[in-house]
Order: sequence, then C-alpha cells, then structure tokens
Amino acid sequence: MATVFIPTVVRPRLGGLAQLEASGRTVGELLIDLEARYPGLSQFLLRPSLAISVDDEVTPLGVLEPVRPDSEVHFIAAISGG
Amino acid sequence: MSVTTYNVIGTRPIRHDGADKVTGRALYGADLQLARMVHGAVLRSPHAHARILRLDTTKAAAHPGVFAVVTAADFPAAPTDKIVDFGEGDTLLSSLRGNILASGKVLYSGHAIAAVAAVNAHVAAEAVALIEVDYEPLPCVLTAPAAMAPGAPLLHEGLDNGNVAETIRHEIGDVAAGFAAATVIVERELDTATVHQGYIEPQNATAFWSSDGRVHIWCSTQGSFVARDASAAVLDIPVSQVKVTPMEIGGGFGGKINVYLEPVAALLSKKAGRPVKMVMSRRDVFTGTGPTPGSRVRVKIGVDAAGKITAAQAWLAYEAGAYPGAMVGPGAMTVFACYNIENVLIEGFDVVVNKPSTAAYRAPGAPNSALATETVLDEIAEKLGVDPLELRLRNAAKEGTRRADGPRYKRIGCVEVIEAMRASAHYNAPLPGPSCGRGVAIGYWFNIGLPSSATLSVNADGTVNLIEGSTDIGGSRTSLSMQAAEVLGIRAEDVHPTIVDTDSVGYTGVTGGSRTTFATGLAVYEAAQDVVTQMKARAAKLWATEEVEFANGTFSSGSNNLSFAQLAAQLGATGGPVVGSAAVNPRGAGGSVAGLIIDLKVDPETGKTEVLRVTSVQDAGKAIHPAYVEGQMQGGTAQGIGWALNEEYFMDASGEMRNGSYLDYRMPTALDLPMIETIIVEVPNPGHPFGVRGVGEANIVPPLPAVANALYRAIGRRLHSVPMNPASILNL
Repeated sequence: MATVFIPTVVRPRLGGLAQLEASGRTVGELLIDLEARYPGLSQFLLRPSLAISVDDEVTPLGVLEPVRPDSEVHFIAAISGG
Repeated sequence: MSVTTYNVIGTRPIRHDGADKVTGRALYGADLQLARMVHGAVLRSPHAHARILRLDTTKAAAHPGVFAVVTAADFPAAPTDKIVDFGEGDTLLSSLRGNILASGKVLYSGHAIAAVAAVNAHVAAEAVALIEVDYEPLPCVLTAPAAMAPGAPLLHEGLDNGNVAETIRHEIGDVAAGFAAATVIVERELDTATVHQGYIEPQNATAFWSSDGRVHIWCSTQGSFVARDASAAVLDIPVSQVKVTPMEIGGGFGGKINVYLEPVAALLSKKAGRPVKMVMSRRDVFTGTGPTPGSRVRVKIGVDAAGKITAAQAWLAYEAGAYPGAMVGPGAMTVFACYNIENVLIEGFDVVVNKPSTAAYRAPGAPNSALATETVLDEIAEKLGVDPLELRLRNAAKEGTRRADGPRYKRIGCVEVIEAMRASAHYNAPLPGPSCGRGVAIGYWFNIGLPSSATLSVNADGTVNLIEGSTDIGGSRTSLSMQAAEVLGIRAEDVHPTIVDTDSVGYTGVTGGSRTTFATGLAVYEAAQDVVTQMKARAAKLWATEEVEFANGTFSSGSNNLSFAQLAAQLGATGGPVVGSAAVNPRGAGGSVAGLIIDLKVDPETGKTEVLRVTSVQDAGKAIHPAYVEGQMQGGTAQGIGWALNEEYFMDASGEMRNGSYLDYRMPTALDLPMIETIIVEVPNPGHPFGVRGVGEANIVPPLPAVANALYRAIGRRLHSVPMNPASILNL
C-alpha cells in the first residue's frame, strides 16, 4: 500500500492523522480509495495551489501519476518562481 | 563534481542577440510602431483604500482626439469564482480582473480604475484627467501584523480569517522535545520592507483587436503563453483568438509574469478599432505592478552542545498586497530548507494589505525567511564559539534529507557550496581594518520544470534554425543553442535561435523559476536527438545500410563518414527537409543552493555602509555558459545587497508611495559595488542530460542575511529590520 501524507492544515479533519495507507495504481486511484473511507478528503488535497509529489518528485501528471506499493505521496505548495 | 567532457557546453561563445542589443536594433515594446496606432493612458487611484461612489467618463470620452475609454464595466460577464490556472500558479479571475481595473473599491494607491486611448500619449493623459471619480476614503492597513490585528480594516469580504487569505503549516517530529534537548536556543523576529524587482524596462503592451475577432498583443513578458492565457481569461475569449508576440525584454525577475496592460489595451483597441499602445511610467511600475512582499518572520532554533540543530520553529506573515498570493508558501518551504532538522514547526500567513498586489521576485519568499534563519544561526555559532560555516556544514541538507513540507531531497549541492565557501580565498583573507565585518549565509531555491517546446530545422549549409518560445532575459538564446550544438556536434554559432509568437511554437511556460535552460533546454536536447535520428536514416539511405553511428558531429558506417554539414547538404536528395521537434513537461528540476561571503565597512559617523568585497557561490549543476551563470549570480547578489541595505517602498500613513522614482528608490549601481567574485559549484542534476540546475534565483537568497551578519560584526549590534540603511544604523 502506498503512503499518502496529509498536509498539516488538513489533519484536523482526519482527527490528527498525518499519513494514510491507500491502494491503487495511480495517485487518482489512491484518492478514490481514501475518498471511500474519508468522504470529502479529496477536495482538500486536489487544489490548484497544491502540487503532487510522488517519491520526492513533483509530478506534472498529477492524479495520473503511477505509484508503487511503497510510494510516498505528498501534497505540497505549488512553486512558481521569479 | 562534474567530470563529463563536452565540446560546446562549458564554453563562452558570444551571445546570439549581442549585436542587435548593442547596436539598438533589438525591438522592445516601446519601439513598436503600427499603422493607425493610438496611445493609451491609465487613471490610477490616489487613495490606498476607498469605495468608488461614482465614476463618470463622459468628459474624457468627448475630449478631442480620444478614441475610446474603458472601465471594469467593459469586462465581459464571467463567473467571478472561476480559477485561472497558468500552469505555474493560479488565481481567481475576479482578483485578476480586479487588479487590472478596479471595480467597487480601490485597494491601493496606484490601483488602475479606467483607461483612455487617444491620438497621442499627451491627449490620452489630458483625457484621463477629465475622468470624474467620487471616492469614499476608507481606513487603510499597510503591514501584515497590523492587518492581522483585531479590528483591522478589512480589504475583502469572504476571506476566512479577516485579512488572512491562507494559513500554511508544516510539522515534522516533536518540536517541544527538540527544544528540550537543546543547550542553546535563539529566537528572533525580523522584518523586511516591500521592494521592487527594479527592471529597467517598464511594462508595455500594444494590442490590436481585428474585425475578425482575433486579438494580437505585443508586450514585454516573461511568458508569452501565460500572457495569452491570462488575457484570454480576462477578456473571456478562447485562447486561440489571442496571439502574443513577445518583444525583447529589459528585465523581469518575476515581475513580468502577471498581466496589467495587455487586456486593457485589447479592450481599448476593440472600442477604437485601431491598435493601442500603452507604456507605463516608472511611477506606474512602482505603484501599479507587483513588488515583492514585506514580511515579518520569527525564527527559533535550538542546538545541542555539538552544534547539531535539535529543533526549529518559524512564524511567517507576508504581505500579499491587495489580493491573496504573498509567496508565503515558498517562504515557509525554504525557511529551513538548507538544513537537516528532525523537529520542525512552520506556520505561514498570506495577509492582504493596502499595497500593490505582490508578484514574484527571484526565489519569491525565500530571502525574507532566510534572513531570519541565517542570522539566528549566526548568533548560535557565536554563542557556541564555532565557525559559522562549520555550524552550517554540521547541519547541511543532503540527498535523502526530509524537508519540513514532506518530500526528501534528491542530489543537492549544499555541502559542496559550504565547502567551496570555506575554501575560498575570500573567506581565508583577513579583514582590512576597523569598523569592518564579514558575513556569510546560504540559501536554497527549488527551481521548476513546466512545459516547453522547440523545433530545429536543418539548413543545407550545416547550420540549424532553432524556434522556441522562452523569452530571453539572461542569455537563454545562447544557452539553448549550445545544448543543440552539443548534441549535433556543431558550433554554437551554427545554431540560429528565434523566439516566436504563441501561434508559431508549442506551449512554453514562463521564463521564470530558473527553468529555461533546464526545461526548454531539455526540449531543445530532445529536438536535436530527433534531428540526429532522422539524419542517421538519411545516411543509412545513402550508404544502403541499417547501421549508422553518430559521434562528435560525424555520421559513420564502416568506412563511410560524413560530417553533419556534409550530410545536411544532401538532405534534398535523400528525402527533403529534416525538422526535429520536441515538447516536454519535465520532472527532475534540480534545486540550487547558493552562498555569499561579504565584507562591509561602516562609517560610524554617518552610518554609511561600504561594500568592500563579495563572493557569490552557487551550485549550477552544470554551467552551460559559465559567463551567463556568473552574470546571474552577480545580478541576484547585487539585487539582494540593495534589498538589504537601501531599497524599500517608503509609504506614508495614507498608503502613498513617496519614493516612486529611481532617484528616490535607491538601487545599487556599478559605483556602489565592487566586482562580485563568483565560484561555480557543479553537482550535476540527475534530472537533466547535461546536469543543468537553474541558476536564476537562489543567488538572491543569501545576501540579506549575509549583509546583516556582516553589519553585526562591523558595528557590534544586530539590526532586525531590512533595509539596514544609515538611519537605522545610527538609530541603534
């Protein structure tokens, strides 16, 4: 099962949980799995201001990014630059 | 360190646009002249916060020589909660429009309200003066702490928490336990003032809305596709109806990503039926575009007796200006980014205030937070009796270090940069005398990927034409051409780069985020590989073989050999033109660490600071064109020193900027700074075939704290507010 790290500001909605195990072949499938257990969670994770990091790399594919059973998924601030 | 040998990469050819730039042939937006063109001017608010009770443009519209007048009422209807995603950030359409032309309320002094197109700029200015506005002035709030205080005037209805648009929180480990294990704890609070990117060329835009509904915009922009998409969103027309031609650009540093004039010029053109040209004054640039946030940052760091950081905590409040988006996110992500710390708590607040809506500025958000972290570490090093670079080295982030926001680092060059600083001639040289101080600091910036496209067409004389969409601010025509030349085994001079409009190349993200040489470079690399593949097929056809090798610019098979140019001459006879193309959306942007060593001397009678010696150190991954890397390092360092010592928006109590010219807004010139020495560190980025990391931003992060640390050693007391100008030094 992949590990989905919950952004600190979202944790109060999950009773303080910092990370969740989820199954799926892509980030999107992980979120579907989590949504079944935590309805409404996805709306706090899939925000335009957040980028998706899989195994320490921000992915341009977003929810389509493939994941492995031992993958780490983070939702981090989207970085632009000057 | 990098050991690969290249033929072109790492050399210093003359830039492709050099002759045009030094002879004045290069065309900037203000140079543009079109048939039947008229000129635009903007009415701006004199109030920092006021309700617009009445806006009457009747007299302006009737003024002789006026062709059109527009206000926010001319924007087409569109859902105000629509989010516009530009690929490198997002914004609410209502905020984007509201900043371009105010509706209902003005939120800062300089806020655009209406615009006029007239036969010339003077008549346009006369007509602007005829626009009648009745305001109901409202109390203004100018700093983040004041805006967060109970009872502060509110800028917007509907924000969750007063003037706080967003709250950020990162937490790893157990901060309380970490501080309990510390033997030395230092906590400080530091403020930074609002500053501007200070590009030389003001914003400008010319637009022509033709009778067939197509809009053509010529402008000075860091991203022609972003300007296209933003303008289309504001005007509520399909992106395919907008073509943006990027003119040459006289600096941007993050400030020329947003659109200000482009949609206004388009609306005016639609009404006037003519092309409309708009050019900002310097004051317009200061008050009507996006400076970088002022901020308050509180940092607390604990270390054990061995100099290992046991815990770190940060509280950051950044001024967003009139609309949300203060860059506090990257500020929070970078505040401890250079260090391996197990216990971290970071809280950040995006706070709206009655100042111009802020924009990116080189490593946006990072200098503000690094100022606090790096000065606190300097104090800790002194308390421990440890060399400040040694303290940093003991805690330096490495590959595998987990950042407070979650992910772990890939290969980064933090250790290598610190070691290069420690081994430098500068760091080992004595200070020249009394009232002098030496300061050091380091900083980190992520760098980004984003989409880029490129096309290479082979000419019969063995040269290639490069078509790309990254506006060239720092020499990217050449750094991209060199990557094509390296792959093709030809000279950099044999690649002819052209930056084209949005109809003529695939989508390409902004020239920002230190991404161009990395991401567009990757597109160019892939396009060149495509050319090689196609030309190998041509050689195979010539030699009636299936096995063709290509190395060092020569195609070969058995005893057959053809140089790139020789084979290029035979393309017509072997199937016609060869055109290679690529579009990428890469991952693997390599973050960059930079360091600064600076020696200062302070005149105890006047408080004037003299910059004696500066050395900038940065991990470039691989320096494609070392002179341009050095130029980026020197430029970012000069801007950071100006930010630290002199620059600020001097606002009066009513929120009006009182120093909106380069006479009064004091940026450093060549007379203020010595030659900035550079040390390029090369820890190759595994995410790029040549190892490229972006170099445009990390270099501005260390100057603020390095200056602060040097001043402390020169005068014996610490300042906690930037700019650290003569008045603040004398008032200590």
